[in-house]
Amino acid sequence: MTQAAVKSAQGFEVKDHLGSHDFIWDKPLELQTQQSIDRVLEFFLRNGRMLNIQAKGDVVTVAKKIVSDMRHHIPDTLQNDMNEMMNYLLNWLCDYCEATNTKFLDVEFSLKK
Amino acid sequence: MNIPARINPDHIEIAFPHSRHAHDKAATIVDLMGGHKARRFEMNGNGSSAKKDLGLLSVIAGQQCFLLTGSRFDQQDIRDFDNNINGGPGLAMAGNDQGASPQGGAHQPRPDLALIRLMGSALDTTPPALINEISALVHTAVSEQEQEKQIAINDVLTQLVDLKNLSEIDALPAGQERMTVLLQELTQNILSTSIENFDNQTFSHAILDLVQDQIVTITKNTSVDLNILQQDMQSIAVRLDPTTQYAQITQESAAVLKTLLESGTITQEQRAEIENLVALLESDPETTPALTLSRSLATLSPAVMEMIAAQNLSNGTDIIASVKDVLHVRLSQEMGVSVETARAVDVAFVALLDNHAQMMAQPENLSPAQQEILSQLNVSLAAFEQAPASLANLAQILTLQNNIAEQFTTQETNVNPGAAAELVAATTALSEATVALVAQNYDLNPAQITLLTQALTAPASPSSPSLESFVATLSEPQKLDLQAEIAKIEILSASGITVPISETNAPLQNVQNIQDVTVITPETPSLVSTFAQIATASDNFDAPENISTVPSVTEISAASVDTEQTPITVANQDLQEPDQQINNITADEQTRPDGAEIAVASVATIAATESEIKTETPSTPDTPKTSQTQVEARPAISPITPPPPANENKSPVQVTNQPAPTPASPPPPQSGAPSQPPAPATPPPPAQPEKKVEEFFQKPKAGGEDTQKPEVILPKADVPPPVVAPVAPPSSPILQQPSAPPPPPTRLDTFESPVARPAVPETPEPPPRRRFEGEPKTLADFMPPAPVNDEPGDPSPCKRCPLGGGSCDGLCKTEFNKARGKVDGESPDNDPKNDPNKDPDRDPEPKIPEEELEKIIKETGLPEDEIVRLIKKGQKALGDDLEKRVQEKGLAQTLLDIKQAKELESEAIKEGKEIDTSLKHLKNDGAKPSTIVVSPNLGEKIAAPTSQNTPKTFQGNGMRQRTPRMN
Repeated sequence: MTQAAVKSAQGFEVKDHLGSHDFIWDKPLELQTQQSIDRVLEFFLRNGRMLNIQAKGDVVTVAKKIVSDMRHHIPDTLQNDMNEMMNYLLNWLCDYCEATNTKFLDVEFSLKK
Repeated sequence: MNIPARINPDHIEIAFPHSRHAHDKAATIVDLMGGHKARRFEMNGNGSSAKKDLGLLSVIAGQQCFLLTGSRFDQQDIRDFDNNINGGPGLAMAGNDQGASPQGGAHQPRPDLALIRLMGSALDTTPPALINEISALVHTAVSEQEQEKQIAINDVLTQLVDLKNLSEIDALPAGQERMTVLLQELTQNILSTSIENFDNQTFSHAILDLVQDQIVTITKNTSVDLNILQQDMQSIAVRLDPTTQYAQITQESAAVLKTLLESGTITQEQRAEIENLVALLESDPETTPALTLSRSLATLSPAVMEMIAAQNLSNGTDIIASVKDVLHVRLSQEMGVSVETARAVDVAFVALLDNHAQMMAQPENLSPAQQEILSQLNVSLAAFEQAPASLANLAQILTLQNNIAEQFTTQETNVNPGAAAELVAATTALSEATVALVAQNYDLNPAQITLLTQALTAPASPSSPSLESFVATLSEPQKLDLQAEIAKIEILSASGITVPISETNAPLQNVQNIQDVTVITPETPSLVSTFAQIATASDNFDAPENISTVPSVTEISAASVDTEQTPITVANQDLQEPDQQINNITADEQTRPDGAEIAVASVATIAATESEIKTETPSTPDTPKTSQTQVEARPAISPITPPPPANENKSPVQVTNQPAPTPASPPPPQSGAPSQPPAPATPPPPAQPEKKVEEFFQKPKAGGEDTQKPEVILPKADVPPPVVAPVAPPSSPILQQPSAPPPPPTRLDTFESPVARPAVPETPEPPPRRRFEGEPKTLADFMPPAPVNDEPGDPSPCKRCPLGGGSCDGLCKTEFNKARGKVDGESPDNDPKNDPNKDPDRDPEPKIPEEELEKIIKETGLPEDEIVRLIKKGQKALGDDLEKRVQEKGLAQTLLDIKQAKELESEAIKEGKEIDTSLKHLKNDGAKPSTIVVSPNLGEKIAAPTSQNTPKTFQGNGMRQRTPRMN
């Protein structure tokens, strides 16, 4: 397993993924990601949109369904925000499945008002 | 700052709230693997306590957020997690002393998670093949090789994820340096893993394609110099192109083999073998099937094999292994299946070839039946070589598998039991590999595969699944893909190769039963040629436009039992009761163990049938083998054509002998038209087959609700589709009694006949003038007015024709004259029965002018209503004599006479006497001659009808004679 790590000139440590990295729940939420979540959430609330995505299967199938269904609800102007938000969500899923060795999931992704 | 979440081994809840709640205490991890990241929550003013057992929403109540809730549903996952907890050093979640971390335990590489991390939100654009491949690798990796492959793929994908992460901090020099190192490691990792055998490489085409794309994508916005990876990238590019790889390997192999030919130590036979192999290697891949090259490699003599094996390619690999590798890749590419599946098919194919050759090497140990089966196997393998993914070939292999198992294992044989078992095992392996190939090629699920194999192998019985039940499970794209394949199977089933037919009484079963007898007949050498013919014909099914060129079922059937090169037209009506004949054959088959005798009997039976057919269907030697009726019976191909009813014992081709409408045939009778009696030589068909003709032309039902056996319906080239005459429903008595001539046409029918009627004008015909109530009308008005120029052919304009201007060519005059000819009898136009608006039982109300009425009242002393009633009664009783009587005696006297007669009748009725209500006794009663002179208009007034109820009885010269009824 690769354990290479380099330090940037600013001292920021870059680790390879499968190293003893922190899980996402141990990392702070980046401001850019929070702003993307805000914009997507505001879009749904402002337009009175409903969201309820249900997926069941292996992790890849579940993740793919959430992304593809979510993309249909988001206008083109918010695709970048949606991508940012989905990347963050998928990282949560992956870290959870990696930590718990989960292969099959039954997931519901919805908007709660 | 973090987000609210509850993370448990079997459940996860993640909330994505708005940033305005960022400073809430709830915006933290609520629960982490049973531990408490935060023990106190504000609960938005609802109190504060540790609420780890509550749902996340109850904790963050009131927040508008996206919520992801998930739970694992695979119990094996939970067991694995428990094992990790028990076997590992403990949970080491950050900030949680009770957390569980599998990091310390036995950790399985997860290429699926690496793929998600790599693709991120672009996961929906990932090729499904790649997702399926990685999912299968994660969930089914059992063998050591698969686990190594899993680790290798996981490493590559992880390296790509790291590259991706590094690219996001490209501005950092250390990041660029690290990216360059990672790229070199990545490419070397790929190339070193897959350099030996192409088909055994770890990385599939999809993964290599992904790697290449991701490298370009990741480094696109970076300053990483990819030139240092140029050679490696080119090598990967070669890997990504199997065609290039195939050409490279085959050309190099052919070059090495040619050097062998230059040596003088090889014999002529060895030279021929090598030259043949070189020719195949240098041939166009599009014209040479991959399995043909594989067969050539498998049938090399041991000496040549050793000579070739001693040679190596430039990369150090031997020729045969390399060629095999590229063949498998090519086969997988052609079939659209994985390399593993293609390899399994090739291995099983070669093994069966080897076993077949071993069996045929000792023919003295084989019984005639075994020799015949091996001959069929050879033919089937030849067909399989051309189209491995064909359902028809699969059906053949499955059928042969059963026959071989029966002939070589269950019956006494001189064959070595071990060799027989190997043959059976090889056949089974090929059938299984072919099933997997077909499943992948047509994207069939296991249930569909089970149905298909059962339909192809199960004996014909009502309980066995049919092909229709399999077709019913297919999606529309699958049906389109499999349409030609299903048709091939139907042809095979009809050709006599024992492919089960689902319905015992299905029409094709009759054909099949006859041919089935010949299948096990060693003395029918035409069987092999028949199958070759079928195989050749089936190739034409690849393109829909070639379907029409395929020999018909009966043609192939006839060829398989070829006696005089005359088709056994089972479609002929002489086989309307084929069950009896077939039952006889079946009985012979059951009672006679000798296949040859069965064959003789069967062929004799068929020949007898054929002779009968010939007597009924005379044909010259030049007559085409397929009669026109047969051809016309085959509408457009439709493998899922609704089958006939289960109790339909008649052959479907019987339908073909229905008196098909031809240009010389009389037009079908139409209602009201002058009917032509049916020709006695062509009795009308029974109702049910007529219905089948319609069914043939119906669009197949997608739902497959009718699970009966589909029929093969093949259109014949250059034959127009039959024109199906409109037929009555099966329950029509006309069809049940077809010989009964239709009733003779009445005059009304003739008058209304569309044949006799002139052409319908395009201009709208003016409606007949309707008289308004109270309009004066004379008796003469009810007479047809003398037409002006009413002779047919009279060039003068027809003034009574509604068309006007004589555009009817006098035909209306003809009809008018016909109507005039009925003046003495009845006029069809004025028959109230023919006018739905007219009530024949309701008499018109006579209208009498007031002056005339007052005069009559004075003369008779009768009230007005009584006068009217008497007039009506007189009309009923006397008919046309009423007018005469009025002229003779006057209206008043006539009314008095009628009144008197009515009184007499009333008295007679009271006394119970039988009376004559016809008032005929008044007709010749001259005892009371009338002195009243009826004015010329009086009769008109009497007969004046209402506009709605025109008294038709006044038409013509007199009133209609009918029996009056007295009240």
